Amino acid sequence: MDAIADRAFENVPSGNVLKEQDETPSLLTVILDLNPLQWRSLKADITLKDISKSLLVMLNSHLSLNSSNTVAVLSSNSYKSGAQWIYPKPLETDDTETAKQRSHAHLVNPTMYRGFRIINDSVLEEISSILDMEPDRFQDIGKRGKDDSKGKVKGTLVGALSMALTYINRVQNTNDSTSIKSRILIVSTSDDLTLPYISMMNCTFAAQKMKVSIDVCKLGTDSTFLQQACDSTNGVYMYINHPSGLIQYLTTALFIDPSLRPIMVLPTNTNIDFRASCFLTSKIIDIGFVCSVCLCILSIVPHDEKCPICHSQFDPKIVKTLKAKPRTLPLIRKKRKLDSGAGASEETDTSRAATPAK
Amino acid sequence: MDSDEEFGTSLSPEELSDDAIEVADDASTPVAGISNRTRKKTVKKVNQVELMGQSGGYSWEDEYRRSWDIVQEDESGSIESIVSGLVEAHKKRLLKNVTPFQRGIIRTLVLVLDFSKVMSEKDLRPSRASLMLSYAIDFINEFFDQNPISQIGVVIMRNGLAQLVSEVSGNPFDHIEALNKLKRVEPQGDPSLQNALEMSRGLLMNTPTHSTREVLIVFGALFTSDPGDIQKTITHLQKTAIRVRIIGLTAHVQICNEICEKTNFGDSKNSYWVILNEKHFKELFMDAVIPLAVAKSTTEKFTLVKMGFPSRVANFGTPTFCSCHSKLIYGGYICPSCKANICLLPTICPCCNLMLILSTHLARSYHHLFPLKLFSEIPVSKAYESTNCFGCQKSFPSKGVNSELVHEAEKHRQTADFITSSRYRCEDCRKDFCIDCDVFVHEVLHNCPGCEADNLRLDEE
Repeated sequence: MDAIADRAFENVPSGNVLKEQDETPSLLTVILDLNPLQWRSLKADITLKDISKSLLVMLNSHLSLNSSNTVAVLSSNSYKSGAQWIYPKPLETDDTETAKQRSHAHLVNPTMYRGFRIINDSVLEEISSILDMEPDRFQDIGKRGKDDSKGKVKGTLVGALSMALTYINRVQNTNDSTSIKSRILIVSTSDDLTLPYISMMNCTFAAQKMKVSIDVCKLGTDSTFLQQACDSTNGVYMYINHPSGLIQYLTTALFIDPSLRPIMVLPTNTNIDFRASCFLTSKIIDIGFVCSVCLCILSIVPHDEKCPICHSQFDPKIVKTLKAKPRTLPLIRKKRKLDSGAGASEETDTSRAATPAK
Repeated sequence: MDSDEEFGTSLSPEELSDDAIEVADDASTPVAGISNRTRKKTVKKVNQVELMGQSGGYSWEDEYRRSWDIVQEDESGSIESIVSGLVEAHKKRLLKNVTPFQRGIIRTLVLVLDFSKVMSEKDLRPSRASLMLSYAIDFINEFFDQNPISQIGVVIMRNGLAQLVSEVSGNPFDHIEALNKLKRVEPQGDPSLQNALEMSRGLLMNTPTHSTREVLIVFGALFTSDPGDIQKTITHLQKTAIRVRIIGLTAHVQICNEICEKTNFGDSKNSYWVILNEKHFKELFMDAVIPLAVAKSTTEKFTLVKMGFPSRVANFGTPTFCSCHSKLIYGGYICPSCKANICLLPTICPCCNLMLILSTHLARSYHHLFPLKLFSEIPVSKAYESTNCFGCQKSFPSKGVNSELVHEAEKHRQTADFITSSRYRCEDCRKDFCIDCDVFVHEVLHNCPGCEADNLRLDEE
């Protein structure tokens, strides 16, 4: 249970790490944040076009490391459909097939190595088709949201993460002949407000259980939830300071194979804020109270002595002890009296002071 | 703990009370042939319906069903669909009921293992004792994985005594080490439920009120040799609100049933089981990982628990001794109230007695409190809307099932159960999933990918 159990990862037998790592194929799952508004705010530093270029280079180099390596790509936070598969896509009907042929011509050089071409093609094509739909969808949502929620949409990174984990689960269970290592890379631009905490933690624990590392390539604002996710799954959290050199980050720091991680110094942040925030006042706290029924964290004892989340009534006796001010010993006064009175011997004086007053 | 002596010294054949002997007689005889008295009891206790076979008689009176009769070809002569149906039916059993309960999340559990002579029998491979130990280790790992702020203690029943193997604590590594040491211990003598229960009671006596008090017994023998009146122990257990659950390895024993019934508010069905085979044994063990639903009588004890959320320091520059194990460590967690250096969380600060946890530990238990709704199976039809599993993209068997085949299959009741649509739908987001994803989502992930992926659903949270 050390830091939510790093041990699960640390117990790799150190002797044959080097021997085994090259043989087992690995699956790299990339989740790309496609929220257009977030990308717009980053416009000065990096564009979506740049990042897709760098990502494709990364995917291709991953594929070239081992002939059985595979990749998967998902999108999240887009207005079109929330989280969505980009590659591999399910088998499709005939009209999209023709559309694909059309796009072949101008997206990727047809002389490219076939393994790369297929992936590059479908990734680029899917991203562009999602982006084509974005303005319309955004307007739809904006209209719809006028009455209820101001056009706000839920972040769907968790959805994409869940889908990725189900996919990894399937790949790991079907390929029983050859075990396959998996890891997830999240390219995120949105902030923590769009992340539902409980489901994010559920994903993190599932990934931890499956020994899938979650790496994060963070643009925009820093995210504590993603830091925690990386920390508990032994992943790499990278905040990108110079987005123009993204390809460098992707192919070095974020490219380390999970089997090499125990013997590498990871460029990750080790000071992660694990403090909790109060459910009522949302203050960050060191010491707090936890409801024994629903585990909600409170910084103060509520006035009505009821849990604000699950409405269970607390035991008044225990609340009383919690509210009680720390008892201090009336030490000093006593001492003074003794000192000022008869000059009692010092030994008896201290022994009396040490016993707590009742 | 000195309770070994306490209970141990009083143990001699003369002093065995009538009760204990009666229990012992009762239970040890059925091996040869069931005595009249026992038989009457069991028939009364066991629900009649459970024994009924399909034809309305007892299941052993039923005609033998050959498993290969279930498999039938569809119109194209393929048995693929029915085989996949069989596979799915097998997986479906894994799904459990998920009605949300108030559960006692902060738990204290004493694991009592039978180490009497019967445990050296080899009806479970390699032997009862070693299988029990390896499952117990799995159990402890899983238990702390799902209940990180709970505590466990381990006790064994051997030579008519209860011996403390590992103190009540929240550190899984200590327990596992202790259990590994037990592997070299030979099972010996008689088990004594009373001694074990009394010792567990002593261990659980000082647990705080917000924590549940549980005892889980793995009981291989068919008798118990007790130094005193076990009924008194049971009333003591009832008074201290200790809930006992028992996993029997051989047969139903009346005294176990009674203990479970009395300490679980009359509900012995969910607290006393007898294993069918190795796999069932493991399942029963793993069932105990899930926190118990809070019983109504204890609902007045809700409390707030004071906890500290220490911050982690990666490196002090020089190694320091941790205050919990006195080991040299480079980094560590700093207790927010007394600034002691702690190496392992969750724990209780050795200096100021404050419970120290990470917020992520709390998050680990949330899925017990907010369980994911079960998916519903889509009924068999000719055509379906979805072609792929929403989660893993596996393609569904596209062909709808011919109504004739369903009709045909209905004649053989068994076969009809195995014709499926292979699609399981989340009622909230109307997305379809395959059986593997369904099981994975409910067992491991606890999130519905469909609901989370839908950007328009704002109603949650």
